[in-house]
Amino acid sequence: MINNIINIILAVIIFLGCLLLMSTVGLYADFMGAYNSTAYYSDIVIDKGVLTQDDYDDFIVDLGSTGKIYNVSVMIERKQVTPAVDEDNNVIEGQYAINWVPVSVHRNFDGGTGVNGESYLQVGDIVTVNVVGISESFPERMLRSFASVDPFNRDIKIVATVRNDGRGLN
Amino acid sequence: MTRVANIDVIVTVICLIIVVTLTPFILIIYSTMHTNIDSYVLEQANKRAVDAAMSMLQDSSDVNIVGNFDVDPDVAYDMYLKIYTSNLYTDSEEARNTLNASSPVTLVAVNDGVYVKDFSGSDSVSYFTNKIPYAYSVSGTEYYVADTINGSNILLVDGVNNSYKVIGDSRPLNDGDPIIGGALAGEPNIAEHSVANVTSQIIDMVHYSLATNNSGGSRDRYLALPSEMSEGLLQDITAFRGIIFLNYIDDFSFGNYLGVSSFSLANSQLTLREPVGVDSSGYYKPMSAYGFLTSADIPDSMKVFTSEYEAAKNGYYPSPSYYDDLQ
Repeated sequence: MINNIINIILAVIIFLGCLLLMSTVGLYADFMGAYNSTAYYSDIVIDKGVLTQDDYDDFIVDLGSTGKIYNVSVMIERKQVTPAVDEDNNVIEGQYAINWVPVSVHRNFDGGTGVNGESYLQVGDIVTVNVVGISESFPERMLRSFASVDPFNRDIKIVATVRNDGRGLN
Repeated sequence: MTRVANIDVIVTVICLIIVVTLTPFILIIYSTMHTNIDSYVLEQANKRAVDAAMSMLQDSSDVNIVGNFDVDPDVAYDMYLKIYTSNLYTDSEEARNTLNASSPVTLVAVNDGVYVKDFSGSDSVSYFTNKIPYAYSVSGTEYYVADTINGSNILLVDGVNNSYKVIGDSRPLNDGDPIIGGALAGEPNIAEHSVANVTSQIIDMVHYSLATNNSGGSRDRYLALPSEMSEGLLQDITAFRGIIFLNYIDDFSFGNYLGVSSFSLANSQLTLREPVGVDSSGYYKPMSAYGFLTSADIPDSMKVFTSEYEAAKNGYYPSPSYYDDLQ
């Protein structure tokens, strides 16, 4: 009788172990899939030097294939070169400062509609693509339920500089 | 009854064995995947950071009419740190400091000189030059030898055992192998260009630069090496014209990320910057925005600078429409 109980417990442990293993592998695949989609989209943007609705929509569809729902934001920052100033805001002669000024943010949440139309970028602009999962995939639910861990549930962030001017001016 | 009991025990033992072996197996799988993700994210961060540094180098380079140019290596290096750490979900000062501390070798090189990071006379100093494609770690027994012509290889030389390996390549370098990329390709014997010999010459160059006060000005992390000092060593090396950004990371780890060592290099031709002008508004704009056809059309009252950086150094701010006016 005791043996039977032990066997049942061990069988359950083995079952859960297998489930965890499969979930871990599934989650890894999900993360890498989403990361690669984001990296691919970022590369398109920095190579073309333009944000287009078509590229953005393709990216969102690609992300969706992982079975999760994501909040996506794309931010563009532009360099501004100004004189360097000291603590009292006096100009320091012979020195300059580089400030990064946000010029646009495109998001698919908080009322945002993602990328509409086309936005042209300049060489050196910083493009930040942030992807945050807001729904749980099956592997995540398994891991959260049985192991209380979610090892790969990281936000995805790709930051890169634009290589080519979108209008072909350089 | 006994047989049933025996079967139960056997099943229990089998189950126990499975559980005992499954647990480390799951842990190994988890650990491997964790490492894979870390490596991948860090590799991507490095790739984008070196791209950004090169872009910033090109952008901030200042060329004069006879083709000599100046580069601000700090700007490129800061950009490298910023983009690298941003890709790790943080752009904190702490992350940048950690990455900086793990970057013993950084090189920004141009046609007529080399800026070497962190020359301060301490034990951990590394010297690097693109004109002589070698690096030297003073503190340890390892010598880093880089081929900066195509950037695809760095050789790690063990000073004690005199053995060689290519970082990122499991194949050990054999004695007869030419160093890939042409720097020493075709040389009959690697010993003729011994690391120690080249290193001593680099150190001589550094001392010369110090003695002649040929430093990088305010860029106290860098040292400018004059090209005439390297000419003697250039004869065997394919000439390279342009700019180089190179960084070597030695066991960088931050947050959840495991330690990583990597070597990255980018080179490119220099691009000419558009000059900017300051008119009566007191702001600078790109010269093309004024629509002058020839330089003779430029009014005497207008100040012209070779780049936005020079204008800012002289106390001028960009026009609100500066970036719209860029052409």
